Amino acid sequence: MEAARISLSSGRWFRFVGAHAVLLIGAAFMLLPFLWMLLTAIRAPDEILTGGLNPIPRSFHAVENFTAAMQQAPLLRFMVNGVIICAGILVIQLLVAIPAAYALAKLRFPGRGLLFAAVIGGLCIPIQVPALPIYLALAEFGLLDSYFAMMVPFFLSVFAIFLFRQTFRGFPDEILQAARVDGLGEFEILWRIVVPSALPAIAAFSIFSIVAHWNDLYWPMIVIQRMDYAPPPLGMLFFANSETGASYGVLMAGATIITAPLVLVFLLARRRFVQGITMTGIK
Amino acid sequence: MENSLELAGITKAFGRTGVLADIDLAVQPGEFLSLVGPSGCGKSTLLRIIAGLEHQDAGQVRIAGRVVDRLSPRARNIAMVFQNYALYPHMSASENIALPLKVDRLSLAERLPLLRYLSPRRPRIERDIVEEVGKVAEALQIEPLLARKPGQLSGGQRQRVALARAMVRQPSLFLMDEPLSNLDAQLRVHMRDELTDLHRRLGATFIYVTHDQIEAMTMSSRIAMLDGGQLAQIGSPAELYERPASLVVARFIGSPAINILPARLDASGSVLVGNLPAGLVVPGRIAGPVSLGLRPEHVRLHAVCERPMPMATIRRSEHHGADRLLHLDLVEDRKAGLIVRIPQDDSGRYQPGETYGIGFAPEKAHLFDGDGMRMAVTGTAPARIGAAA
Repeated sequence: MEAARISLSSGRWFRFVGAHAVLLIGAAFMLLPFLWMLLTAIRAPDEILTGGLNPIPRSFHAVENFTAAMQQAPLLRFMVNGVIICAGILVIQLLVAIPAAYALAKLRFPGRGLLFAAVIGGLCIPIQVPALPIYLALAEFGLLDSYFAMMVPFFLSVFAIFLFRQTFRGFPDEILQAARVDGLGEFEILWRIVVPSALPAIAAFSIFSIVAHWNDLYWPMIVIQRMDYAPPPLGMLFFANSETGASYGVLMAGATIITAPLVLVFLLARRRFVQGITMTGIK
Repeated sequence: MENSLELAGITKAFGRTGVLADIDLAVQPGEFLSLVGPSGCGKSTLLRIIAGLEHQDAGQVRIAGRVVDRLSPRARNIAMVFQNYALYPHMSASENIALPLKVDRLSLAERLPLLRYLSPRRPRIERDIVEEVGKVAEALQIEPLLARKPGQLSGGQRQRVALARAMVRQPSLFLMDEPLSNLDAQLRVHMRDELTDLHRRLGATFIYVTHDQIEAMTMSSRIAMLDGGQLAQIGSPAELYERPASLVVARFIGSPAINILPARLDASGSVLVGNLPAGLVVPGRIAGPVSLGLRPEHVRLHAVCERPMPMATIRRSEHHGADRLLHLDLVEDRKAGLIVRIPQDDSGRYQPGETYGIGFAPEKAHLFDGDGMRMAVTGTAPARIGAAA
């Protein structure tokens, strides 16, 4: 229908349909777990393990599952924790990475090449490598079980530095020179002139960062013992162990609730996100 | 001395590549000086050194008699217009124009978001700024465009906004880095006119970098030509055209380019083109190859040769409005060609395929030695080829 309306020639029509068929299959794979989560969240408990692969629930149990999830688990608490952690990490990441990336992209100073090589090297080190030393240090200072412990390893994002450096490099030098002639200092040039034109890249990175840390289970599990500080995934884990046992319907209802904000954020920033990714040439 | 500029011994290298070597230059207040030269000659680097965007390795820059080597671009009280206009992309035209004034008059805290609302004097200063932006916009006739962002402006409009941003601070020195090179031909001619007019109205000193010799010739009070990081010649447009100091200057200035004929200096000091004496005498120089330069309008074509003279055949005839350009090939040396400018009225007389003798008035000829430097012609010999009747 779509294809017919925009009247494509037959060769292009087949390519159009073929491409979209492939994309649809990919999308189905991505969406199926979410769909199943949603379906499980609205099923009755007896149906979950016995219902087979039948997608349509025989009896709807949505209200019960969602109220149970809201009542039994401090979901709101988990989500507030998630917001605090994600916001804290993101703000510091941007404050650190943007000036660093600007210096690497636009300022001439000795050792720049070496520093950039170090950034590239940093991209190759996963969090698991420094996890133990960071844990020991936090324990030494008595900082375990705090928001700070959950955020500190991620304050410095080499990925952000790399991404922003690629973006800033394309910014015309002439405009920087004009700003210098007009009397702006380097920091003002960065925040007033360069950053506003790099908003798509910043939005793209923000989504990466928020999704990664909202969903992060590994690091919070290491440093957090008390449920008060738990971000959503860790909270769900505590919740699954202690309260619900095998009540998958309630568990999935909880999972649905904590996933919803991410989906919303992505939908809101989708256009910027795509711009940012295509602009920097990182696909 | 107010708007003067002096450069003394400016030297600059990027790594091992020398860009500028010992440039001395004095620009008078109110002068329109063009820096010209082929690309890579160092003219843009020199302009950026004057602006304070680059630092020279040696030498001194003085603006209004004051040494500015250690001053930031802002403290030098200059304005610069860039080739690609360099407007701030996310600010409207009026914000672009207002920015230099805001930086000048408001403190850093008064320019910060939120914090600025604490300043009691800010609203008054901003009102003044808006008024001044309006005046400059009026002078350049861009008032209707003030609310637009650079992306919504055409090339010529962007150029005017960039000029307004430069003018608004009333600087003593305007630096322009090929500001017209991104405009289409018609608009360029128009903006040339506007810039000349602006220069006259403001009475400020303009330093104008261009690779387009026509811009330099038409707008400047003086031209400084750079070649290979050195000052090849400085003088009025007429001086550079009529008495080029070197082969490089002679070739760069003038359109169509000057004709250069290979020639030879014999032991007696007489100049030979081919084997024919050219009627020029340069005594006291060592014999060897030289170059003879002839502007297209100074070549005379002789249908009847009274003396032996170099012959050339018309290959092509071009209509250029008031005049016509004839492209000729030398009969003796097919590789050497020359271009002759004739009035349109004479065009009927010169047809492709015809052969003529090449003559010129000796006082109009330029002679350059083996190193390409101008040679003083001291006299004319009696046996001169094709001398004007």
